[in-house]
Amino acid sequence: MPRFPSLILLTLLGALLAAGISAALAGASVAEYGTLLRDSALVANPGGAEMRRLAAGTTVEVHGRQDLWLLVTAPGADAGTRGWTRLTAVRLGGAAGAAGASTANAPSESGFARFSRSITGLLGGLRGRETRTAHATIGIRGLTPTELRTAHHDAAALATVAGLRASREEAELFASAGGLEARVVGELAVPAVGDLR
Amino acid sequence: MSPRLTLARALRVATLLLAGLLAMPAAAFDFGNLIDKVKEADVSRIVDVGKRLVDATREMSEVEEVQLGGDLAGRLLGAMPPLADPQAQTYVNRLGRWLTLQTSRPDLPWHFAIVQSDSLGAFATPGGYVFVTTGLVALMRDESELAGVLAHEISHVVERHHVHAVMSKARAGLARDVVADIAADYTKGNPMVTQAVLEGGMNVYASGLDQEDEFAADRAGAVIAARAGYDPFGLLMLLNTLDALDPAEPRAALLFATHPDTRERIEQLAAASATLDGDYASLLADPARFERARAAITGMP
Repeated sequence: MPRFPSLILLTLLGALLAAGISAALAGASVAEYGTLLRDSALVANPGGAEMRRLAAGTTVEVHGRQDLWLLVTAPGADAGTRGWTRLTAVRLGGAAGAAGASTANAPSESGFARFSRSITGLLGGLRGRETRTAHATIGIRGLTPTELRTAHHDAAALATVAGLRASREEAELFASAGGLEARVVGELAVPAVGDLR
Repeated sequence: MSPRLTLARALRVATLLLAGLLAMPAAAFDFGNLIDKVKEADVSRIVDVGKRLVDATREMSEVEEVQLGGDLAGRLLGAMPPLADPQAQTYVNRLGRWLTLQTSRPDLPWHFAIVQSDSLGAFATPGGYVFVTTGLVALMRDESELAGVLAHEISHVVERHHVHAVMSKARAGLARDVVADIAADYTKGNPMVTQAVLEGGMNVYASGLDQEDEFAADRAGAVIAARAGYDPFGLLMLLNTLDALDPAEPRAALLFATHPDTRERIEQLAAASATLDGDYASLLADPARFERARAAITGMP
C-alpha cells in the first residue's frame, strides 16, 4: 500500500510547514517596546517638526533607529501614527511583550524584531516574569566581588586564551567580509553640562 | 651651622618634599624645581629618597604591562572559564583585533575571549586581554553592540586605566616599605610586591575603576567602533537594555556596582556622540554572522 505512507508523509510535511510559518509569524509579530522617561516630542523626521507631544510614562512600540532617534508608534487617539523621538528619552524593554499594542506596522524582520524574538524572553527571565528561555532564573546568580578577589590563577585557561589570537590579516579579512571599512573619526569631547538631554 | 641643625633642617625639607611628591601625579612630577629649593640641605640623601619614589611611580613598560595583564587574566579566568567553542572564540578575536587596528596600540598582543558566566560583564587586563561574558552577549541585538563593548574595554587597555589603578592600590599597600620600583620588583617576582600588585589588581575588578575612566572609555569606545566602520551607537543601545533591567538583578550586580549609573552613562555618551552620524548600520554586509555566533555562544536560537 504505497499511497498511505505517501499521504502520511505529505501530511507531516504540511504540518511542519504550517508550524514553521506560524512560528515565523509569531516571531515577526513581537516587537520591542519602550517607556518614555520624560515628556517628549514626536517628530516627523529626526530633528524635524513636532507632530505631537508624548507624556512621560507613555509606552511606545519601537520599529527602528537612526543615529540617536527611534522610530516609534505612538498610542492614543491616533494610534498607529509613526514618528521619531529621541533615544535618550526612551527606556527600551520597559514594556516588552505588552498586550494590546499595535504590531500592524512592525517590519517582518527588522533588527528590533529579531532582537525581540530572541531575547524578550531573556529580559522577562531577568525580571523574573518568564522562565521560557534556556536560562532558568532559579539558581543563577552573578559573580560576587569576593569571588573575584579570591579567584585562583588558571594557567590552562590562560594558555587556551593565548592560543586564540587573530592576526592582522585575519582581522582585515573579517572586516572585509562584513562590509566594514576603516573611517576617519575624531575624538569625542567631554560633554558640557548644558549638552545633556 | 652645626651638624645637628643641618640634619634637622634636611629632615624637615625632606618631609615637605616627600609630601609634595606623594601629592603629585607621576605625569606632573617636577623634581628639579623642588631640588632648587633645598640646595642647602643634604641633597644627596633627599635625591636618593626622591629617586626611589620616582621609580615607584614611573609608567610601567609594555613588557611589564603584558606580564601583569597575563597574571590578572589568569585570575579572572579562574572565576570565569573560556567558552569551549573555537568558532565563537575565533569570531570574537577577529572582531576584536579589527577594532584594535583602529587604536594607537595596534601591536599589543591582543587576546579576546568569550567567558562562561551568567554575570553581565566585560573585563580588560593590561597588555591586551579582553573578556566578555556569555550572559552579556545574550542581551545583544547585533554585532555593533558587541563591537561597542569590546571597544570600550580596548580603550581601557589603550589608556592604561587598569595599570594606573592597580599600581595606585599596590603603592598604597606598600607605602611603608617604599619599594624602589614596584613594576621591576613585580616582574622579578618579589613575593611581597607580587602579592600587593595582584591583590590590588583583583580589588580593582571587584570595586571598579575611577568613574571618569568609565565615561572616557564609553566615548573612546564609540570612536573606535566608528573608526572600524561600525554603527557607533551599539554600546549606547546595549546600555539602554541594561538600564531596563531590575536594579536588583543579581546577574547585573557586579556591573552596576563597578560602573557609573547606567542612565547617566547613556546621557553622557549620547551628548558626547551628537557629532557622530551617518549611515553606519548599513555598512554591515553580513548581520547573520552575529546571530550565528550569538546562538553558539548562548545556546539560544
